[in-house]
Amino acid sequence: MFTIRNSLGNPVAYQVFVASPCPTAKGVLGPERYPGRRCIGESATPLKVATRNGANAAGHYARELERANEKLRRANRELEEFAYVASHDLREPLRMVNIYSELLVQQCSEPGDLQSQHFARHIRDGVTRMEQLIQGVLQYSQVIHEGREYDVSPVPLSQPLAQALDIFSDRLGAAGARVEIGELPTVVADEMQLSLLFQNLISNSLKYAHPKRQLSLRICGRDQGETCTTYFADNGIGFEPQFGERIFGLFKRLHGRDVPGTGLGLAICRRIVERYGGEIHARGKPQQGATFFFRLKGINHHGSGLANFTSGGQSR
Amino acid sequence: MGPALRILLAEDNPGDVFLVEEALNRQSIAHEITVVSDGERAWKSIEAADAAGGRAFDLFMLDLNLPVRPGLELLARIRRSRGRISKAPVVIVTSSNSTRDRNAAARGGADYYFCKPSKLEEFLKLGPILEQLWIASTMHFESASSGHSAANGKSK
Repeated sequence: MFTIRNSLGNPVAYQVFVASPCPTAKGVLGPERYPGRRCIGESATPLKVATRNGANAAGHYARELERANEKLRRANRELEEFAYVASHDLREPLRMVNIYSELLVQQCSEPGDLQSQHFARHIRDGVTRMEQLIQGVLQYSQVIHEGREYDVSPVPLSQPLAQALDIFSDRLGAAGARVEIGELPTVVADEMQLSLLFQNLISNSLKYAHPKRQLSLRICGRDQGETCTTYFADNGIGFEPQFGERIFGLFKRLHGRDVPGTGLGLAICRRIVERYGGEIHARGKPQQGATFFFRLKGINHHGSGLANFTSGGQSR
Repeated sequence: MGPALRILLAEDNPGDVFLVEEALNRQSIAHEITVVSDGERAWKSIEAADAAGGRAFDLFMLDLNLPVRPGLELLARIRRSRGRISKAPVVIVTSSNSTRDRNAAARGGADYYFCKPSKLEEFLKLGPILEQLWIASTMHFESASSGHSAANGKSK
């Protein structure tokens, strides 16, 4: 038995089985033959196993797994790098389209030239939307690209929340929103990324506010020792309960163009939370509201390497 | 009408060249722009200006990411000139918003870092910025050469 951390940093226990060459086993090990146990790589595909003695096999698979993990890490890094560079380079030509379509709108501002104005406006709308998408993709790739992987520290959630509310203060004010903040725990993550998480949740609630009532946001959390759960609830238009997972998908949206959005906001939220070993889910009721709740490591989390912080007089 | 603002603009994107001129026009600044589309040509223009006593240009605008020679090399070349251009205002015009580039430009002695915006209104702000830099530098040169022939008759 040995444990290896998965991509989210959570320990996963593995056991190596050694298959003897027998006609029925066909040299194949798979979860279907060992129900309830995990196979190396958490793969649903059975692994081919060569016959060898137990100790050698364990070492062999540990090395193989480590190699595979390293390959995966490299592929992920390259992909993030690619998304980052691509979105930077994509913005440059778009800047030209944007500015020159503005000039075009100014040029055809004579009252008689309604159709040209109409066309130019469509260009501008397309560009604005493309810019939002690129901005979103950039943000999504930056969650890992710019996040400092080993520089996590205890963050009282009230701080990034206050920062996010401040950024949205105009829009929240315009919507006449009421914000109630309850007790909030201290979690182990990066403050900037947590602010981005709250910004995306606030932006989501603003977009899906109920047209017939004042928007109300309620944010509170609970420290459960090793982990902390935070609730972010709104009284907006909500969603059908079966879409609770779908809304976190990349470019997945439940509404058409009537509600602005790129389908990236909640995907960014999930990526941030998972990046710090946590999870995020949502519950919704149509016409009543949505509640997002995420679990993150608290400062008492074992193996977070932050014991010195708890004894260092950090108030909780 | 006063003399024209003479600019050496090192920029390989014609779209941006037009916008720089548009910004100057809307601010009603008389100007003479020499456009060079790569770093090597810019380098040669700077060398020639330096050799001729450095009076050919009042202001430099450099893109950071130029073909052949990067803008920062040009900036260094301008600053170590013997003549008057070593003190001329240099504006970095770039699409990069990175802290590293900003710091490098500041260390190299750039007077202004203009990150190319994607809104026309923002881009046009370049007009007043250039005008201010120009006025500040003429005042600098006039006070430096006070007593000599009233500079080249720059009116304010």
